[in-house]
Amino acid sequence: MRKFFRLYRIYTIQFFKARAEYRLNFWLGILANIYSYFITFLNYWIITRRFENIDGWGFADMSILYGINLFTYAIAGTFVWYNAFQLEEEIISGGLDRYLVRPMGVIEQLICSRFGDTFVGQVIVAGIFLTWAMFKHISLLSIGKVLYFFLILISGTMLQIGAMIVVGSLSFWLNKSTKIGEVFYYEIRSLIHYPLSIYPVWIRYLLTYLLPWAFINYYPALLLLGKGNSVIDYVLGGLSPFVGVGVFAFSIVFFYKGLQVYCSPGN
Amino acid sequence: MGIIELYDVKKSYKVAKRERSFLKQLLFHRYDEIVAVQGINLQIEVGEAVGIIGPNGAGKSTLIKMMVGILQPTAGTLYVNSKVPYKHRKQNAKNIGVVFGQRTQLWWDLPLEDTLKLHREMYEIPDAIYKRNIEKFDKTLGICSFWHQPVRQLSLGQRMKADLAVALLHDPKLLFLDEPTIGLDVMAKKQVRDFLKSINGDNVTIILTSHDLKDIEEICPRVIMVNHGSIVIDTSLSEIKAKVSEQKILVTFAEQPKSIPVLEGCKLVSQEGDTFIFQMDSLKCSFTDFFAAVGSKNGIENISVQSIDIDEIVRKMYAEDVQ
Repeated sequence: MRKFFRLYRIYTIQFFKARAEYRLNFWLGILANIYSYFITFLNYWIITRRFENIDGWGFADMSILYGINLFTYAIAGTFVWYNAFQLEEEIISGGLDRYLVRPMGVIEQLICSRFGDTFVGQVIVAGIFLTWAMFKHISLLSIGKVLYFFLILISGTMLQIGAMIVVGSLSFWLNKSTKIGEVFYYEIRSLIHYPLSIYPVWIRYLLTYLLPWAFINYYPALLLLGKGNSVIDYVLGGLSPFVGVGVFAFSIVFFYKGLQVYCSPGN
Repeated sequence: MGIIELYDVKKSYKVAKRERSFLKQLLFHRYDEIVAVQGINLQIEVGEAVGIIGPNGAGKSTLIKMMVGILQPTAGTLYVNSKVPYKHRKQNAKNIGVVFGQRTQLWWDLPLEDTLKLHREMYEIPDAIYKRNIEKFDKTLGICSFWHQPVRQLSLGQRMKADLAVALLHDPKLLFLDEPTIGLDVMAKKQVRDFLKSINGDNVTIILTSHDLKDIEEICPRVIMVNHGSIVIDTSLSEIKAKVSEQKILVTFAEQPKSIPVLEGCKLVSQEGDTFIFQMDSLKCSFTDFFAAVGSKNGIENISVQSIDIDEIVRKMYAEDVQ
């Protein structure tokens, strides 16, 4: 583990050195992300202004709900997005061979190989709105809840990392998996941009038990803001950190299962 | 015990079968099994340099990929440094160096220096050994002349030298090379070959595949020919050469010959202007007989003998094996 962090640091420094060769591209990528996600928050502001709230959720509540999702997604993105979504490319081209002949775990090497610099924009935007919203609700928060908040950011990140790794690993069997990733990860996960209570029951079940995206932000936000309607809501909120760890662990097992069917193509 | 040992190693791939109808293709997945390596037994001792040759798709790459730990054999057992490569992938990786000619380990946008430093960390190479090896590679490969240039600006030859330095930085006992001289110019090829010979002299075991048989001829005393997933020949190159008894004889006559004699084991293959090209099997026909028969009736102006080139021999062997 220490070796991994040492190498991650070196890889990341090297990455920025290499990136410096394309400086303009680097800054534009980050700026574009800051801009487009700022607009999303602005959207919520307009909606909550116009209709006062979304099913009882005001702008600060929405900022926490959406902010947790975006923040954890972006942190996960800096670690694995490029690598997971490039995995299909590496599998088809046989580029994975490189990692397999080195004395380090394949996932660790994939994580090291590319720092998701463009996600820095999302981290900044989400960080700002989250911090603002948390201070706005400071009266609701106990020390325990603040600790829970940080825990949820970590487990949410793990859940998102896990999801990205699973999507990438599907390429071992399907050769192409980014389309599937777009549907099951991006499209369906976009439902958690709004409180689950506005949806029909089957969608709530889908996002809880089948594709557990609601554990990223919805159940934790219910617990944080005291918005739950039943004991089950709070139980699910309490379970969220475990779901994050569970999905992450599953993704690693899933990846290595996939690696067994990898047949390095051609030469 | 050999550094590499294979016992009845098999590898097959499942390939999705193409259905006639598009709908069937989408709905059902039927697989064909393609056998890439079928039951290979092989022993390689420490310090050997072994060339693996064979036509494209013969199973060479699959064989090497199993040895380095990329692929898991379908059946059979295989040991490298007394370990099973795909089970102890990381440990195996510490003991081997790998160079795939068409796939670089180098960091494209950064100078060689950065890739080497990274490998020093990854392989946990002590500073003293790192320094010693860099000096050694500079002396033999001249890597310091392009030390600060981003790799993408390097020539193909420089890149191969850089790749060799990276693969050997951690003092592996075993070096795998897949087409290391592909696309290189004559000078670079020579440098790479000389370097590999000197490395082999330092007791590093070398496993090499190449379509350039000069590589094999110069570096590898032992040659293994793979075809259809099996080893068809395991011998030395000089022995392969010795087996081939055919020779080409080019004869220029002083004037248009009146008659070309017919001899057992010798035939006229082509005629270019005044030059007649004969192919002679030296087991069936001797030079004396040939000169007596050809020279007695016609005046000879010039004569030269060519032994058949190694490429041609191997091409013939591939072709024979197909039949």
